[in-house]
Amino acid sequence: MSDDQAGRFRTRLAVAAVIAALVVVPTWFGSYHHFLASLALINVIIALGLNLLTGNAGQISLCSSSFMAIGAYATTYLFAKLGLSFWLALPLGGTLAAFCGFLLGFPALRLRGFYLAVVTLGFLEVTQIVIEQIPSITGGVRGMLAPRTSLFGVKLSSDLSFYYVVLAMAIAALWCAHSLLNSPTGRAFNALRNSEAAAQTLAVPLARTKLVAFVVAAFYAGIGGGLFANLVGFIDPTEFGVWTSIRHVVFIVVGGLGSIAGSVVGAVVLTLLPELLRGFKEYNELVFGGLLLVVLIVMPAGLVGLWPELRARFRRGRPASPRDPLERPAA
Amino acid sequence: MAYAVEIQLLIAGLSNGSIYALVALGLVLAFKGTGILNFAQGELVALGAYIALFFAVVMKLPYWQVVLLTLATAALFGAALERGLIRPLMRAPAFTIVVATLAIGLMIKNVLRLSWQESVSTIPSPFAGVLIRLGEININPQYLWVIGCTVVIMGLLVLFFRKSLIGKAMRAVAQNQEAARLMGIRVSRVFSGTFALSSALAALAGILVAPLIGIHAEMGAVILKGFVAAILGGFNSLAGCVVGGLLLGVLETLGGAYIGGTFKDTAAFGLLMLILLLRPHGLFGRAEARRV
Amino acid sequence: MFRSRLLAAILAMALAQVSFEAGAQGGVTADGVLIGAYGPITGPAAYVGLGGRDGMEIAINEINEAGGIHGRKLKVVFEDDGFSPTKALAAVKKLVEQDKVFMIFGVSASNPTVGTLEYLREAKVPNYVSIASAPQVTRPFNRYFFRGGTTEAARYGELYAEFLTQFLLAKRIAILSGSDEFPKNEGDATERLLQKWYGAKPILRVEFKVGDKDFTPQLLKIKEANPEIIMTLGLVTEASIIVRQARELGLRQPIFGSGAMVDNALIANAGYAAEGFMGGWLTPLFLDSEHPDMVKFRQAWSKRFPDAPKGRPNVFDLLGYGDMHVVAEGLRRAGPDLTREKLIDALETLEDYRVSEVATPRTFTKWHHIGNLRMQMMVVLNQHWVPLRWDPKRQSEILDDYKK
Repeated sequence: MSDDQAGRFRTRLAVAAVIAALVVVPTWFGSYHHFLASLALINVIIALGLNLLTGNAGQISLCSSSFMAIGAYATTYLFAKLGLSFWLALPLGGTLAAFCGFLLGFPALRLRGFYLAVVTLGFLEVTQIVIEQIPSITGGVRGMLAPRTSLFGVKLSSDLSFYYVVLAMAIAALWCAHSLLNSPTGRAFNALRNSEAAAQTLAVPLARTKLVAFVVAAFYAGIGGGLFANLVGFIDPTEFGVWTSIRHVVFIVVGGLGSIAGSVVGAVVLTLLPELLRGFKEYNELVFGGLLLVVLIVMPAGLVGLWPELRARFRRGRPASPRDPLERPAA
Repeated sequence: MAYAVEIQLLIAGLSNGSIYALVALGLVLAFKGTGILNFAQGELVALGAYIALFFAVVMKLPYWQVVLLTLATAALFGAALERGLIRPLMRAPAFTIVVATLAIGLMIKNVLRLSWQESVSTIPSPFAGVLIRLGEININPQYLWVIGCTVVIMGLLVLFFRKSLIGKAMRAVAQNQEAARLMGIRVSRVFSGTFALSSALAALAGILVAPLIGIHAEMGAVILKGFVAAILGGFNSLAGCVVGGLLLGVLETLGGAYIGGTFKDTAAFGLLMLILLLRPHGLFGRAEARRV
Repeated sequence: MFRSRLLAAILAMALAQVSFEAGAQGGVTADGVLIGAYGPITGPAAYVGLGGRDGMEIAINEINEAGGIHGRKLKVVFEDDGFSPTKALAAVKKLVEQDKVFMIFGVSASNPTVGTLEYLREAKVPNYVSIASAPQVTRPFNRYFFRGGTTEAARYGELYAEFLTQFLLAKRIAILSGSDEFPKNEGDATERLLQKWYGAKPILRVEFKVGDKDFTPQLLKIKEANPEIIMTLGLVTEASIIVRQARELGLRQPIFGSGAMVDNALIANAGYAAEGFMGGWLTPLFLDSEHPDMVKFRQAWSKRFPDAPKGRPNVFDLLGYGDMHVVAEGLRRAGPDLTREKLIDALETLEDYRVSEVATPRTFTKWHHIGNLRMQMMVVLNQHWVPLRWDPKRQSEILDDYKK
């Protein structure tokens, strides 16, 4: 077997092993852990989308929670109030969120940096107000109940069964993100982030690329939102405020901007960490902030920055390969 | 009396706007001076208010001493913050710094929440509680005090940056760090000084606004308005911050009275978007020529 | 060698599981009862959860020092919910499945509490809610859910409507309510009851957003409508600004506020503008009362928490304390052979029970679990909260739905 083929086989084996572990290991645990695992995977989906937009395409967005909210409320309304099948309501909710992302992409064509950030914040405000002002559809400030859905006639009332569904979706989302990054659009994202002027000279369609980035991020967040609503069973506007958006940004910054592995690691670690810190009682948020700060000071490029360093250290005799400036981001 | 209500609204709007201007000033100063966008600025406002609360209620000091001591303490805290936590982050990518300052803000907020658990507190001010009556107009003197202080501080800052050595050093560092270093300016000291000044401005905002809206750990939310004000002004000049802040305050108050209470916050964003559409770099901002 | 040790370990774990289940109900052992509790101890509502938790602790100390209940000491595991329905659900799942608690004691706000109801309903765990007033806790009736110190929003509506029209004899009422869930519920209930019981309608209803710092627009509208009384619903943070701004804008009407506004902070912040402010307080005695029961509570509190931050104890300390004693009484009446079903049956025998005058009496029956229907109206006089001698005369109707 050639070196390249051996490498590919090893990667495929590793992936298969990880997936097998993700399927088997949860059965050893209880519903509390399944619930957390589903939450973590939902955050992975949202983080993947946001990282494509911000980490890869370089567009700041502070309204990921709004896209999540649109997906959550639309899916739940279609499913719980209109009786549509959840498996139809979910992509419809995601599409509605994607459409809103498309609309938001237009101001993005003219603005950059914190000007764009403030516009996305404005969109967040508007979504909050809309949610509160149409209680007949969203339940307003009193919130909305979302009964657990069924698959093939079987109600997914056990958190384990719901986890498997979320796992399948997360894997699909991961695979799509990976393909997207390795496609011409993905390369256009990176060109956009590095230098808009240079990208233009290379005939990268700026407007279309930005819009695609917003649409993809919004769709991912919308799907995440629809799943979130069904997992938790109850949604209210406070779950989709500016702090939730900020948490999503923290996922990808701590994980590693522009890296798919970063999205996964950041989302999983930062979803589970607050639960692990429960022992600190009323100091848990303080400790969380402190840990966050320490991680950022020590690893400013994110947690995935650790992996190449560790790998290099464990490869005896082989020095760490120099960074190729034209290298694609680690996927 | 005609327009009595409008005059009251205008004064209240100018007062609110002054607070936004102070927050914006702190943000822009730190940004221009060190390149750091300090998302903990809101929490520094709250911290300033709580420090003042401590001096006023626990130590029972008179108002003037409270103000001076609080500003001094806040300045020291700002310098220590810069030296201890911000300095190691200066070479980090922009997003990392943003999230790090958010984390710092979160920690400050939690400490405040746990150490003082009154639902809302206040500091006794010689201006609050007494109403000035001019015909049908009732004016809370605290509003005038806030506006007056902001104007005076603005003037002092202009003098500071134009005439004093430290001020000029800060401007030099803001323009070009390398050149400043080559001229013998201790850039690291200037950084600490910038953060000290920025924190003192935040603390001043906290002290001034406390008798009007009360002190509680969520006060830091004002950073959003400060941001909008700074961006309105172009995010690069003192005058821009003040104009942006006052404009925001007045329009918010008047808009809320005539359009509707719950839509006051959208008024802020609506105004911002309108201005950005016409002048994408804010009212006083300059389009930066970027090397390609 | 390793494999046999591993097998032994697995066998031991399996046996431990079995023996734990076989022994007694989850959370109950020969010498202890494990109670799970959740509430916000971080986040903007931290003073609610911290108060509830510490109040619970005082009560549990008193009970354990007196020998416990049927020889069992009470122990609490408290989890933070950060005022988020998601985190509340995670907390409750952890308590029920990992800590294997006997019952849940909730000191959280309404929305996080509602987020946990579906799960607890299916898990059939007794859930005693001390603070949240969301109607879903007791309506529709569920055998496993109990409501303690606060009452249903509908009852607030009844009390406020009667107080305003029958005691204050007001006909023209303006309502200024926060747009978030709790004030909205109270405001809607008040409007409904004014109409239903007295054929009255508020002449104006305006809203404000939580976190608003300026209420001039709303107050100007109210001034134009010229009511006899202004009713405001929300938090004390807003109330102190509303009261001050109202006086500045020339509004002279008396102001009546919801329970959260009856707080010394209102007087401290609004000063003399707060004189005459009326509101409903959730326990019979105010925190600075010199009644021996309240003095005893304050002493027990200071002894346990000598370095208390300013502002504590607060009303949630009182509610947590009173309601934990109610639960303890239920445990007592359930007898030494303790199961979840027996606790529920025992709680349903409570009639006008309270540990002392610091709490309102609790009554539960087989067909409703709304423990408290009372409220104490207070007024600010000479910069102090003073109780008003007023009791509602009209029979509450919120229990009628259950009688059908």
